[in-house]
Amino acid sequence: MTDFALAPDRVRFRALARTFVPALARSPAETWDALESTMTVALASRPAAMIRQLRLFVRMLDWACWVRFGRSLDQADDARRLQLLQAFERAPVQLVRRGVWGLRTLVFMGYYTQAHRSLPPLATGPPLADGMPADDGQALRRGDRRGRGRRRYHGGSDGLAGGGRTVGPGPGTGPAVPDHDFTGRELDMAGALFADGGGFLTADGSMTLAFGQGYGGSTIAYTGTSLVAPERVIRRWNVPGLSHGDITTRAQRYLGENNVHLLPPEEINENNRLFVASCSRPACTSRSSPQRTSPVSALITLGPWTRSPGSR
Amino acid sequence: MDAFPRLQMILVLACDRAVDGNRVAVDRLGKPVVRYRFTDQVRESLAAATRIFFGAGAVRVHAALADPPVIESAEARTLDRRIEARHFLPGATSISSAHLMGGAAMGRTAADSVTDGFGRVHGRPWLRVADSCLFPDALEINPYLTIMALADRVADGLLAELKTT
Repeated sequence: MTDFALAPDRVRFRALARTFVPALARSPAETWDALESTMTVALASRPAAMIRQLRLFVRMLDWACWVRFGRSLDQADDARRLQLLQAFERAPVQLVRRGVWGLRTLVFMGYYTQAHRSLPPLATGPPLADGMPADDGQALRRGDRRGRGRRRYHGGSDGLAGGGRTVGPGPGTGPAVPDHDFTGRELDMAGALFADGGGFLTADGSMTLAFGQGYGGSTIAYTGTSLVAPERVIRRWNVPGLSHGDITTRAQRYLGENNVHLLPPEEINENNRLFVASCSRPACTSRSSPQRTSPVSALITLGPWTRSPGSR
Repeated sequence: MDAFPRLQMILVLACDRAVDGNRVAVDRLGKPVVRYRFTDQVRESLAAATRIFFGAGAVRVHAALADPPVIESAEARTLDRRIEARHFLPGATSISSAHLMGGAAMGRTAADSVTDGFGRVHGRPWLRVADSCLFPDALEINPYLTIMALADRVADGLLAELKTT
């Protein structure tokens, strides 16, 4: 692929990518092509200066590898490359740490968005046709060791969907997502629905954000976990005319329309039952989450734009 | 891998408040630029989560703010020494969010907010906002239902206005 920003440094880049995702060492050419295509799309909207920085960073890593180990990145073994990346990841200069973070994010984006196509198995053994656990995980939950080595899991396939999000047929970057583009699967639609495919970086490169882009803003992504706003929060907001009762009434309507419900106990898997049982100890409390038992990620709150004169 | 059936990956909800300086801007190309800095509260909540996990019976916790990151339950009493703010390195500690909130907060006037309780932009009553930008502060929970409830409220306000004009 000639458009790939790191084409002149492909050998170095691939050595680094194999260190981030060891399974890439066994991947066919199609996987690498798809990875580079995804990265090319992600980088297309980035300033030229950033792409130059990325190239420079890869070359800097190669130079550092020569200095430290007397070998180039592609000649060094996995352990040495890992050692080098870990050192850069903990560098005192944030710009250097940001370089590792950004490069790793791109590689992850390029690899794990292929999750439902042709990822090699994490476990060794004969691959399965559908890429799903051979026994739907029953043996694993029972602690049955006999099945080990024949089950196939995609280590990162849950990454983007970690918050239990599903994708609704809302507008993407244009007025609407055409019906033929709608699959209902987040990974398939991430490019259209999320800024930078869900791997958007904050200005200082310290955190990735997944947010909907397009007309409709955050209403275009259905997060799956359906909890009604706590009364204390609405009271604290102190917005004139906005009551907790109003929010609750409207929320209840959506709960009904979306058939949100708690799972019956027999359908909650063992891992979640153990978690709830543990949380019943005096140290903490827990409760079941309607619709999907799903953890939540960090919330970030942005200050109102008006607080800074001149900001847009 | 022997412990795999007893492995639980838990995303920690670190609830931070609206802070001056955290904001969305637009660059010269029209692309969004999100400025966000981690507060002490976020760092402390990550450390507190480790205590909760041990309190709930975890025998081993992989904590982002510990170096080395794996802490055994026998060390639970010395967490303060194992988990330190200096281990939190933006750009190295893996943190992500799918729940951005705020940016066009609801409030009383343009002095303290961007929009009113029906999503109308102060001073621009024909312009409305109808998503999580409206949140004046953290919701403390997953925001989906509240986003939809507020969008519904904004639509009702618009409808009521159209009926009277």
